[in-house]
Amino acid sequence: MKSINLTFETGHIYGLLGRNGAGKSTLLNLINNRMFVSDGTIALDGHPIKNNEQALNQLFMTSEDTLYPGDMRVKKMWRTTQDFYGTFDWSFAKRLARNFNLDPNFKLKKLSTGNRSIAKLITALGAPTKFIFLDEPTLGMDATNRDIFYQALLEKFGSGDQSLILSTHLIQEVEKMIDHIFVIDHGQLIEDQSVEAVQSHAFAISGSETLIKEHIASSKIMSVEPFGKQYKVYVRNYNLADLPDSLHAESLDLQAYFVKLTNRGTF
Amino acid sequence: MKFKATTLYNFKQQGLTLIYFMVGVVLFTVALPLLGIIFTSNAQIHSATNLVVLFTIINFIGGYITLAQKNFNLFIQNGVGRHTIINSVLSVNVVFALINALLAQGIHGTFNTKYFQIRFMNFIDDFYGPNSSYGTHNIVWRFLFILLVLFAIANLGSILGAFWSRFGRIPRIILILLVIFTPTILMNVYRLLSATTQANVKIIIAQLIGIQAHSGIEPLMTLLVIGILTGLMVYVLNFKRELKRS
Repeated sequence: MKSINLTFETGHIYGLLGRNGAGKSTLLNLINNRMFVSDGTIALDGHPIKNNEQALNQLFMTSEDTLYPGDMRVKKMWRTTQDFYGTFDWSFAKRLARNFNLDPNFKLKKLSTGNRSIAKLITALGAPTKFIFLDEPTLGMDATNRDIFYQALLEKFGSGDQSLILSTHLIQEVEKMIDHIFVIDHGQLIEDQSVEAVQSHAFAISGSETLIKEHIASSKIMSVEPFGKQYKVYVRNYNLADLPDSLHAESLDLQAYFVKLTNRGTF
Repeated sequence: MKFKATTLYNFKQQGLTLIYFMVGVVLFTVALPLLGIIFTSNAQIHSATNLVVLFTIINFIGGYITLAQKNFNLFIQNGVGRHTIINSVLSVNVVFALINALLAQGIHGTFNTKYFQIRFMNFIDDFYGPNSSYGTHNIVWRFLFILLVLFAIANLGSILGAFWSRFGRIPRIILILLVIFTPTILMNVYRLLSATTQANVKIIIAQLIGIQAHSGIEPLMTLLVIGILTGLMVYVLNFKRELKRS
């Protein structure tokens, strides 16, 4: 990771996006005291997080790696979370387990990949922390379970005193939920904006090469595609009011924006 | 809160290890020989379990478990700082060394009486002789000796626990085979030596590790230093330990 500077605040659902190997998991592991930074500081309310249990008590992370013993029962995972964090939202966890058809008496190693993800998710959502970090949370989950999960997220994070940081490749599925994105590419932060700001200033603009070059600064172009005799350019931070009538603009959804941002092309 | 939860978790794990071993001990060194005595009416049957060696194994395994990757991962998952993990592990190692030293003394004292025909042996008697500072009559010194041995051994187990995850499958197998076969090979080589050479080897080893025959306070000091050094190693190996991604 190279000189990344970002801030998470409570009351948001953040999307941490990036291609495979971009450094998302490493960043989350660094924030959550699983790995250590060689330079710089990670702080919560101004206090360094490194081995600071008051700060660590406000963070909870689940990832693809299962850090619970395989012979631990789901219910015991919840009990353990309560022991270490002070409290646990049992009623929410039990209700969610019922919705997912997950028996909390099962041992982790006896669960399928999808159900193991569900068990870890329920544990994370029941934890009483300000910040919850979910790294690829829907691994192995079917479409129905993913839908239940997204509903649960909306219910849980509607109150505003907690924040969720969601690292996922399923951008289209979470687009409606997240309100701010961070995009990591080759270990660097290349985007830090609200979803609204991104979407209101990201477009696919088509027209002739000359007109495009004349009206659009190259620094705003993310990607270029030949389009018959014309070109289609994908732009960011672009003010639609500046667009001349001779060029045509289309809005970009978050996934298209992410793809073009991380797969740059030029004339 | 984190220290309490970590310590309780470690305590339960070490407690279970102790219970499993004690069930084995009771079965193989008390129940079965007792049955032998009852059915054969042979009062000469005795058990030859070396108690300190047995509790050394228990403490080593207990120490290993507390810092094995499985436990470390769980603590990190639950927001426990490295210092808390280390402090908890060392505290539990001390407490279990204490419990096991008491058990070793208690069992030895209980069974090695005129009412029981089952005899437990103790390597301290083998090494120092029953009339040394660590003889059966000198309960406090003997207890301190066992306590310090068990504490150092538990710390060694914890060091292995921290190291184990860094080894691949083949090095692990080689290490296990070395641990199993090295003592056997060394003991056989030792037995092939003449009595004089054996005595000399014993003296050299004893002097090398600071444990001299006929006792005194020196062996205790040596063990204390070993305990502290292994404790420091537990700290050094873990305070910057990162999670291994699978």
